Amino acid sequence: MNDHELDDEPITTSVGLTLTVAPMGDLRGNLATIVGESLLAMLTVFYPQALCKKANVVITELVQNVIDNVSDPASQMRVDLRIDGDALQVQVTNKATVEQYQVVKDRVDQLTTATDPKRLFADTLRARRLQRLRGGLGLIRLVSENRFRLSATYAGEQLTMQAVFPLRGAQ
Amino acid sequence: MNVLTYGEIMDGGVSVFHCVAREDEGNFSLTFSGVVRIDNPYRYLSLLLQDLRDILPKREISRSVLDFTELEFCNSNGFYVIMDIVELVYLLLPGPVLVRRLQEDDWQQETLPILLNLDEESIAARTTFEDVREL
Repeated sequence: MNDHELDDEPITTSVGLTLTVAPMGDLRGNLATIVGESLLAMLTVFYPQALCKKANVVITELVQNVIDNVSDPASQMRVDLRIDGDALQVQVTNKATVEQYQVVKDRVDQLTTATDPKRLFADTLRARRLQRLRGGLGLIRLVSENRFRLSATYAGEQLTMQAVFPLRGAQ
Repeated sequence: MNVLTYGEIMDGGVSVFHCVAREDEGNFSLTFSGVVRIDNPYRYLSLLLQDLRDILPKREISRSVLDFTELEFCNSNGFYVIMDIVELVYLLLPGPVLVRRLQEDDWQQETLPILLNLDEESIAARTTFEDVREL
Protein backbone atom coordinates (compact mmCIF):
# COMPACT_ATOMS: atom_id res chain seq x y z
CA MET A 1 0.00 0.00 0.00
CA ASN A 2 1.08 3.58 -0.39
CA ASP A 3 2.12 3.95 3.20
CA HIS A 4 4.81 1.36 2.53
CA GLU A 5 6.45 3.74 0.11
CA LEU A 6 6.35 6.41 2.79
CA ASP A 7 8.29 4.04 5.04
CA ASP A 8 11.20 3.99 2.62
CA GLU A 9 12.31 7.60 2.76
CA PRO A 10 12.15 9.77 5.90
CA ILE A 11 10.67 13.18 5.14
CA THR A 12 13.33 15.83 5.73
CA THR A 13 12.11 18.66 3.45
CA SER A 14 9.55 21.19 4.62
CA VAL A 15 7.27 22.88 2.12
CA GLY A 16 4.57 25.43 2.83
CA LEU A 17 2.25 27.03 0.33
CA THR A 18 -0.59 29.53 0.63
CA LEU A 19 -3.07 30.34 -2.12
CA THR A 20 -5.74 33.00 -1.86
CA VAL A 21 -8.44 33.68 -4.42
CA ALA A 22 -10.91 36.58 -4.34
CA PRO A 23 -13.56 37.31 -5.26
CA MET A 24 -14.81 33.75 -5.63
CA GLY A 25 -17.41 34.95 -8.10
CA ASP A 26 -14.61 35.55 -10.61
CA LEU A 27 -13.64 31.89 -10.77
CA ARG A 28 -13.44 30.50 -14.29
CA GLY A 29 -12.41 27.06 -15.46
CA ASN A 30 -11.60 24.12 -13.27
CA LEU A 31 -9.54 25.68 -10.48
CA ALA A 32 -9.49 22.53 -8.33
CA THR A 33 -7.91 20.61 -11.20
CA ILE A 34 -5.34 23.27 -11.96
CA VAL A 35 -4.28 23.67 -8.33
CA GLY A 36 -4.18 19.90 -7.75
CA GLU A 37 -2.09 19.16 -10.83
CA SER A 38 0.29 22.09 -10.29
CA LEU A 39 0.84 20.98 -6.73
CA LEU A 40 1.45 17.39 -7.78
CA ALA A 41 4.09 18.49 -10.28
CA MET A 42 5.88 20.68 -7.74
CA LEU A 43 5.79 18.30 -4.77
CA THR A 44 7.17 15.44 -6.87
CA VAL A 45 10.51 17.26 -6.76
CA PHE A 46 10.72 16.69 -3.01
CA TYR A 47 8.50 13.82 -1.91
CA PRO A 48 7.55 10.22 -2.71
CA GLN A 49 4.82 9.86 -5.31
CA ALA A 50 2.45 8.34 -2.76
CA LEU A 51 2.56 11.47 -0.61
CA CYS A 52 2.22 13.77 -3.62
CA LYS A 53 -0.88 11.88 -4.71
CA LYS A 54 -2.42 12.33 -1.27
CA ALA A 55 -1.77 16.07 -1.47
CA ASN A 56 -3.31 16.17 -4.93
CA VAL A 57 -6.46 14.36 -3.79
CA VAL A 58 -6.99 16.42 -0.64
CA ILE A 59 -6.47 19.76 -2.38
CA THR A 60 -8.71 18.78 -5.29
CA GLU A 61 -11.58 17.57 -3.10
CA LEU A 62 -11.48 20.42 -0.54
CA VAL A 63 -11.13 23.18 -3.13
CA GLN A 64 -13.93 21.67 -5.22
CA ASN A 65 -16.16 21.59 -2.13
CA VAL A 66 -15.60 25.32 -1.63
CA ILE A 67 -16.28 26.10 -5.30
CA ASP A 68 -19.49 24.05 -5.18
CA ASN A 69 -20.74 25.91 -2.09
CA VAL A 70 -19.86 29.57 -2.51
CA SER A 71 -22.27 31.54 -0.31
CA ASP A 72 -20.94 35.01 -1.18
CA PRO A 73 -19.44 35.69 -4.64
CA ALA A 74 -17.45 38.60 -3.15
CA SER A 75 -15.72 36.37 -0.58
CA GLN A 76 -12.23 34.86 -0.49
CA MET A 77 -10.88 31.33 -0.35
CA ARG A 78 -7.58 30.62 1.36
CA VAL A 79 -5.68 27.35 0.95
CA ASP A 80 -2.73 26.52 3.22
CA LEU A 81 -0.63 23.42 2.66
CA ARG A 82 2.29 22.35 4.80
CA ILE A 83 4.44 19.24 4.63
CA ASP A 84 7.23 18.46 7.07
CA GLY A 85 8.55 15.43 8.89
CA ASP A 86 5.47 15.27 11.08
CA ALA A 87 2.54 15.57 8.72
CA LEU A 88 0.91 16.60 5.50
CA GLN A 89 -1.54 19.26 6.58
CA VAL A 90 -4.05 21.23 4.51
CA GLN A 91 -6.41 23.97 5.65
CA VAL A 92 -9.03 25.49 3.38
CA THR A 93 -10.91 28.56 4.66
CA ASN A 94 -13.88 30.28 3.05
CA LYS A 95 -16.92 32.32 3.98
CA ALA A 96 -19.88 30.13 4.92
CA THR A 97 -23.22 30.41 6.66
CA VAL A 98 -23.85 28.83 10.05
CA GLU A 99 -26.13 26.36 8.33
CA GLN A 100 -23.40 25.35 5.89
CA TYR A 101 -20.95 24.93 8.74
CA GLN A 102 -23.39 22.74 10.64
CA VAL A 103 -23.82 20.44 7.64
CA VAL A 104 -20.05 20.12 7.28
CA LYS A 105 -19.51 19.62 11.01
CA ASP A 106 -22.16 16.89 11.18
CA ARG A 107 -20.48 15.14 8.25
CA VAL A 108 -17.03 15.43 9.80
CA ASP A 109 -18.33 14.17 13.15
CA GLN A 110 -19.90 11.18 11.40
CA LEU A 111 -16.62 10.40 9.66
CA THR A 112 -14.34 10.86 12.64
CA THR A 113 -16.49 8.62 14.86
CA ALA A 114 -17.01 5.89 12.26
CA THR A 115 -15.59 2.56 13.44
CA ASP A 116 -15.29 1.30 9.86
CA PRO A 117 -14.82 4.22 7.45
CA LYS A 118 -14.47 1.91 4.45
CA ARG A 119 -17.83 0.30 5.19
CA LEU A 120 -19.39 3.73 5.66
CA PHE A 121 -17.91 4.82 2.34
CA ALA A 122 -19.21 1.74 0.51
CA ASP A 123 -22.71 2.14 1.99
CA THR A 124 -22.80 5.88 1.25
CA LEU A 125 -21.57 5.36 -2.29
CA ARG A 126 -24.21 2.76 -3.09
CA ALA A 127 -27.03 4.75 -1.49
CA ARG A 128 -26.15 7.93 -3.38
CA ARG A 129 -25.71 6.05 -6.63
CA LEU A 130 -29.18 4.52 -6.31
CA GLN A 131 -30.63 8.00 -5.85
CA ARG A 132 -28.48 9.30 -8.74
CA LEU A 133 -27.12 11.97 -6.39
CA ARG A 134 -24.01 13.70 -7.61
CA GLY A 135 -20.98 14.45 -5.48
CA GLY A 136 -21.04 14.20 -1.70
CA LEU A 137 -18.17 11.71 -1.55
CA GLY A 138 -15.14 13.97 -1.28
CA LEU A 139 -14.75 14.09 2.52
CA ILE A 140 -15.48 10.44 3.11
CA ARG A 141 -12.97 9.55 0.43
CA LEU A 142 -10.28 11.50 2.26
CA VAL A 143 -10.88 9.43 5.40
CA SER A 144 -11.60 5.99 3.93
CA GLU A 145 -9.17 5.99 1.03
CA ASN A 146 -6.41 8.40 2.06
CA ARG A 147 -6.58 8.13 5.86
CA PHE A 148 -6.73 11.84 6.55
CA ARG A 149 -7.90 13.13 9.92
CA LEU A 150 -10.53 15.79 9.32
CA SER A 151 -11.77 18.65 11.45
CA ALA A 152 -13.95 21.70 10.88
CA THR A 153 -13.98 25.01 12.75
CA TYR A 154 -16.05 28.18 12.38
CA ALA A 155 -15.19 31.75 13.42
CA GLY A 156 -16.22 35.14 12.09
CA GLU A 157 -18.30 33.63 9.27
CA GLN A 158 -15.22 31.71 8.11
CA LEU A 159 -15.36 27.93 7.80
CA THR A 160 -11.99 26.17 7.99
CA MET A 161 -11.64 22.56 6.93
CA GLN A 162 -8.47 20.88 8.08
CA ALA A 163 -7.09 17.57 6.82
CA VAL A 164 -4.02 16.01 8.40
CA PHE A 165 -2.09 12.92 7.35
CA PRO A 166 0.49 12.07 10.03
CA LEU A 167 3.89 11.07 8.70
CA ARG A 168 5.69 10.11 11.90
CA GLY A 169 3.69 6.93 12.23
CA ALA A 170 4.27 6.09 8.61
CA GLN A 171 8.06 6.14 8.97
CA MET B 1 -6.71 -6.44 -30.84
CA ASN B 2 -9.74 -4.88 -32.48
CA VAL B 3 -11.08 -1.67 -30.99
CA LEU B 4 -14.79 -2.14 -30.25
CA THR B 5 -15.51 1.34 -28.91
CA TYR B 6 -13.96 4.10 -26.86
CA GLY B 7 -14.86 7.08 -24.74
CA GLU B 8 -12.95 10.29 -24.28
CA ILE B 9 -13.18 13.24 -21.90
CA MET B 10 -12.16 16.68 -23.09
CA ASP B 11 -11.29 19.36 -20.56
CA GLY B 12 -10.30 22.86 -21.61
CA GLY B 13 -10.02 21.72 -25.22
CA VAL B 14 -7.58 18.96 -24.33
CA SER B 15 -8.16 15.20 -24.31
CA VAL B 16 -7.60 14.15 -20.68
CA PHE B 17 -9.15 10.68 -20.38
CA HIS B 18 -9.60 7.64 -22.63
CA CYS B 19 -11.45 4.42 -22.05
CA VAL B 20 -10.86 1.93 -24.87
CA ALA B 21 -12.65 -1.41 -25.32
CA ARG B 22 -10.81 -4.05 -27.36
CA GLU B 23 -11.44 -7.68 -28.26
CA ASP B 24 -9.29 -10.40 -29.74
CA GLU B 25 -10.18 -14.09 -30.04
CA GLY B 26 -12.43 -14.17 -27.02
CA ASN B 27 -10.28 -11.88 -24.90
CA PHE B 28 -11.83 -8.55 -23.95
CA SER B 29 -9.89 -5.64 -22.52
CA LEU B 30 -10.96 -2.28 -21.23
CA THR B 31 -8.20 0.24 -20.54
CA PHE B 32 -8.61 3.43 -18.54
CA SER B 33 -6.02 6.15 -19.03
CA GLY B 34 -5.54 9.80 -18.10
CA VAL B 35 -7.43 11.76 -15.46
CA VAL B 36 -11.10 12.05 -14.51
CA ARG B 37 -11.41 15.49 -12.97
CA ILE B 38 -14.42 17.13 -14.56
CA ASP B 39 -17.68 17.83 -12.79
CA ASN B 40 -19.91 15.62 -14.96
CA PRO B 41 -18.10 12.81 -16.82
CA TYR B 42 -21.42 11.39 -18.09
CA ARG B 43 -21.52 14.32 -20.49
CA TYR B 44 -18.68 12.63 -22.37
CA LEU B 45 -19.06 8.93 -21.55
CA SER B 46 -22.78 8.25 -22.03
CA LEU B 47 -22.18 7.13 -25.60
CA LEU B 48 -19.48 4.71 -24.45
CA LEU B 49 -21.90 3.20 -21.94
CA GLN B 50 -24.56 2.79 -24.63
CA ASP B 51 -22.01 1.24 -27.03
CA LEU B 52 -20.95 -1.28 -24.38
CA ARG B 53 -24.60 -2.19 -23.75
CA ASP B 54 -25.13 -2.75 -27.47
CA ILE B 55 -21.86 -4.44 -28.40
CA LEU B 56 -20.86 -6.69 -25.52
CA PRO B 57 -23.82 -9.11 -25.63
CA LYS B 58 -23.02 -9.86 -29.28
CA ARG B 59 -19.39 -10.85 -28.70
CA GLU B 60 -18.12 -14.28 -27.74
CA ILE B 61 -15.88 -13.40 -24.83
CA SER B 62 -14.39 -15.89 -22.39
CA ARG B 63 -12.15 -13.65 -20.28
CA SER B 64 -11.73 -9.95 -19.58
CA VAL B 65 -9.08 -7.52 -18.43
CA LEU B 66 -9.84 -4.20 -16.76
CA ASP B 67 -6.65 -2.15 -16.85
CA PHE B 68 -6.44 0.90 -14.58
CA THR B 69 -2.64 1.24 -14.56
CA GLU B 70 -2.69 4.27 -16.85
CA LEU B 71 -5.42 6.04 -14.87
CA GLU B 72 -3.61 8.80 -13.03
CA PHE B 73 -6.44 10.38 -11.07
CA CYS B 74 -10.17 10.04 -10.50
CA ASN B 75 -12.12 12.64 -8.54
CA SER B 76 -15.15 11.65 -6.54
CA ASN B 77 -17.47 12.87 -9.31
CA GLY B 78 -15.99 10.12 -11.49
CA PHE B 79 -16.80 7.22 -9.20
CA TYR B 80 -20.31 6.54 -10.50
CA VAL B 81 -19.35 6.41 -14.16
CA ILE B 82 -16.49 4.01 -13.39
CA MET B 83 -19.01 1.86 -11.49
CA ASP B 84 -21.41 1.95 -14.43
CA ILE B 85 -18.72 0.90 -16.91
CA VAL B 86 -17.32 -2.02 -14.91
CA GLU B 87 -20.81 -3.15 -13.93
CA LEU B 88 -21.64 -3.63 -17.62
CA VAL B 89 -18.57 -5.82 -18.09
CA TYR B 90 -19.52 -8.09 -15.19
CA LEU B 91 -23.16 -8.11 -16.23
CA LEU B 92 -22.81 -8.68 -19.97
CA LEU B 93 -19.68 -10.83 -20.24
CA PRO B 94 -19.00 -14.25 -18.74
CA GLY B 95 -15.75 -15.57 -17.37
CA PRO B 96 -12.90 -14.39 -15.20
CA VAL B 97 -11.93 -10.73 -14.89
CA LEU B 98 -8.34 -9.67 -14.31
CA VAL B 99 -8.03 -6.20 -12.79
CA ARG B 100 -4.67 -4.54 -13.38
CA ARG B 101 -4.03 -1.71 -10.94
CA LEU B 102 -1.20 0.34 -9.49
CA GLN B 103 0.40 -1.08 -6.37
CA GLU B 104 1.05 2.33 -4.81
CA ASP B 105 -2.10 4.31 -5.40
CA ASP B 106 -4.64 4.88 -2.64
CA TRP B 107 -7.57 5.13 -5.03
CA GLN B 108 -6.75 1.94 -6.92
CA GLN B 109 -5.96 -0.06 -3.78
CA GLU B 110 -8.68 1.19 -1.41
CA THR B 111 -11.58 2.57 -3.43
CA LEU B 112 -11.46 0.63 -6.70
CA PRO B 113 -12.48 -2.68 -5.02
CA ILE B 114 -15.56 -0.89 -3.67
CA LEU B 115 -16.42 0.48 -7.12
CA LEU B 116 -16.05 -3.04 -8.55
CA ASN B 117 -18.58 -4.18 -5.92
CA LEU B 118 -16.37 -6.96 -4.60
CA ASP B 119 -18.72 -7.37 -1.65
CA GLU B 120 -20.87 -9.29 -4.12
CA GLU B 121 -19.68 -12.90 -3.87
CA SER B 122 -20.27 -13.70 -7.52
CA ILE B 123 -18.16 -10.73 -8.59
CA ALA B 124 -15.40 -11.45 -6.10
CA ALA B 125 -15.24 -15.05 -7.30
CA ARG B 126 -14.61 -13.93 -10.89
CA THR B 127 -12.04 -11.26 -10.02
CA THR B 128 -8.28 -11.42 -9.59
CA PHE B 129 -5.92 -8.48 -9.18
CA GLU B 130 -2.54 -7.84 -10.72
CA ASP B 131 -0.71 -5.11 -8.80
CA VAL B 132 1.72 -3.17 -10.96
CA ARG B 133 4.49 -0.91 -9.69
CA GLU B 134 4.41 2.59 -11.15
CA LEU B 135 7.56 3.47 -13.08
